[in-house]
Amino acid sequence: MADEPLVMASTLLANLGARVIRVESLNGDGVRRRGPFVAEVPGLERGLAHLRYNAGKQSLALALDRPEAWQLVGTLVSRADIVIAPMEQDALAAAFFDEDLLAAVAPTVGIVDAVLRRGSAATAATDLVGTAAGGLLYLNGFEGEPPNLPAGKLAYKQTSLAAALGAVSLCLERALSGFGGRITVSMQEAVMWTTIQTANENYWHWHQARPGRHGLGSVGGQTVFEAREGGWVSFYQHPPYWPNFVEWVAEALGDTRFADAAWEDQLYRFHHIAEVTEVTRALCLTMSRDELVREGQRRSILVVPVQGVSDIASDPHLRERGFFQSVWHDQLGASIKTMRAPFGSTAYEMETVRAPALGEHSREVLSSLCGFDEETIDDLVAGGVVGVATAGMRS
Amino acid sequence: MTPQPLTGYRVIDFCWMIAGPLTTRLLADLGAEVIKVESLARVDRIREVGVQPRGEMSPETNGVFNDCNANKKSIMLNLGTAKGIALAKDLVRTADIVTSNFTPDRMDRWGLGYADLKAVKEDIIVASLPVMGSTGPHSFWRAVGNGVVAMSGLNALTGFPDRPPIGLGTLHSDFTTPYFAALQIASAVLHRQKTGEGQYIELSQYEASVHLLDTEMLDILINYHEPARIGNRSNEYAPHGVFRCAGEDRWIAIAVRDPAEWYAFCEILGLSELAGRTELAHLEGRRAAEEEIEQAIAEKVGGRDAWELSARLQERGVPASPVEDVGDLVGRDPMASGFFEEIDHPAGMSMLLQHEPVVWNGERLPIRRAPFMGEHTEEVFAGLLGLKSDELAKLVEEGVLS
Repeated sequence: MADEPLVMASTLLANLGARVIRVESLNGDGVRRRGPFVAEVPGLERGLAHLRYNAGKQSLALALDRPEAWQLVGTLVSRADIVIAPMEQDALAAAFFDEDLLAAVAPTVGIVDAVLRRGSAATAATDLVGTAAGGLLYLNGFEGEPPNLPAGKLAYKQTSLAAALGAVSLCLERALSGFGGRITVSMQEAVMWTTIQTANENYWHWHQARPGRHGLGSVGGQTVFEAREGGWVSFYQHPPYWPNFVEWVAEALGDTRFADAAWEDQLYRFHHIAEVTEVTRALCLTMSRDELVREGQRRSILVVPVQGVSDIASDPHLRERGFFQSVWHDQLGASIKTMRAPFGSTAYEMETVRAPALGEHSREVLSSLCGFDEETIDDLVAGGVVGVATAGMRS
Repeated sequence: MTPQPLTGYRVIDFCWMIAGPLTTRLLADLGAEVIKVESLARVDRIREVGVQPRGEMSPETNGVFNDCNANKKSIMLNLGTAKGIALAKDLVRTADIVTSNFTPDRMDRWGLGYADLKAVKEDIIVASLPVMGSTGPHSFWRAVGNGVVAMSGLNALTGFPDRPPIGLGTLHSDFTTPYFAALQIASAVLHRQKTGEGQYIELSQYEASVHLLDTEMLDILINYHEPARIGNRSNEYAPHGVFRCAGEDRWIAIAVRDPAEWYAFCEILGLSELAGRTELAHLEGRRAAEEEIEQAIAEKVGGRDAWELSARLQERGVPASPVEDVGDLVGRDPMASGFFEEIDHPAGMSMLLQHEPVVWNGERLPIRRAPFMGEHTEEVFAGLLGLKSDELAKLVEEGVLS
């Protein structure tokens, strides 16, 4: 029942073999309505976010604005292992997910939910707000300019990752104790987890002073450099490979300044990072992006390409590893390309599965988990409590 | 008492740097006994590189190391020796999980590959986290977190259209990969509980990091459309941005998702003229006038306190937050304070340890400092393998336990 901040949690669980039942409103969940869409034509079955985040799940469509639908949810929950609750809840959802009530009704079920900030009544959360609250947003961008939102919806991602691990933890605990329990993720803290290197730096050194934004860099100075043809590389000075860098600079630029013994000291280099950066910048302008990566990696120096999505889509490494797969979509009447999950195992083949049509599994779920016969389900459909997908539907 | 469902499980942890150790930290938080294998011949670089307290420079006091290795044990074991490898296998025989994050063939060359370890312990779970994966033409590329982020498309998509791609302010994938990996390892434990089978797990840090993108990959794969950098704006919400407030380098982040939020937002900011324009009631109209709206917001919030304004907007259901920096999180924001645990470190200073971002039945998972290098060598080899004091001393002398 996750809303967007937690939707990837159940995608990951589906990747790992869980039967995930996505409970949606009759109009579909919010993820379905989000663009961009296949061929830029809007539709509940065509959203790229839906195709990605609902992949491998079953869809049960219910009139979630009616108490009868929540009775069905209650029956399903009592037969589930894990329930993922929405972060923002209307009155009916809030009543259903009341902690004490739910624990009494379904003591063996694990509940995963999330808040924006712990101990706060503020619930209106978007990815931008999550990155702001957790300190990640502040670090991105250039000095004197506004902090810059990272791509990828990283606050949602981190909240979902923590929730997914929480869900499996609850399953492990239930196997031991027979009881469920509740794990609550704080989106703010989930984002803080991605900035942990800064906390003790502040505690020991800054004493509440404000650190700067990192611009083209990350921790440790500038890491993004322009190559000769205008492409970009990530170039990281990993201390064990400093001698390799010194040799490369001497060969490529005829610059032997780093041969001086003082530069062998890591702390000395730290205090003279501007000079190292300047020489790295000059070195990068002598070659194309791909030449820099090839030559850097040959010398065991940590140089990799800054890639756009078209680079990634055509990456021979990912292609050889079967990272991109095609999956047939009944709803679209076509195959679409997608990414397989990042998990590899000798215990199972990672199967890439399409996203469901809205209400595609309503009958199956109500039959197998609630024990309803066809007539009962027909009545629920006719009464507008349950939605089912139309056979052969095309969107 | 907080549940710790991996209590009784033992992890032999060969990981180093950040992504690998943080993975096993998550397992340790869940109760697993994580034994970190260290050696003076191969010191974990994170003991040496990173934040140190003022006046200190020791392998025991690094802040990042302590965050990555809290709740673990540490042993000295030199894998460059035949006896060291034999002892490693003896330890694996007592264990449930083995973890590493080297380039692909390192564990095999030590004779500690999956086939070797499965021969020692049939149901062992072996997890490997190579940066690029173990196969493919670039499997031997080296990178740390900021390089993985760069390859995954996050740098290229972050920033303003007319500016260069920017580096994220953190080694971001080093903090995300651990969750993917720990999730898969915990699932493997569930699988073993049900079937009795172990398994070999491989998680490519690069592939996991590409999964941090939103819809951009599907957009190129399906629509052949390469998304551009859009700064702080959004394709879904408007206005959506970061605006300067009162104080030095103080900002507020605001996102308006629907008409109800738009009207509440305009009321709180005193933007009645904008609220009265019908074309701005819907997303398309607001996006078309985004520059004008942002200008109006900037004028209204410039002298206001980001915290007070955020609270007022949140009261009306409008997503907003002050843009907090680490000083806020460590010292000012009471809602973040429970995330940190201030400890007195036996090295004679205090430091912050950071909890996981979860509470379980309302409680934090327990946390204790990272181990000193080799702190548990004697305990582990005597306790698990029954080695006597004189045998341990001889192994130290031979450079095996060092």
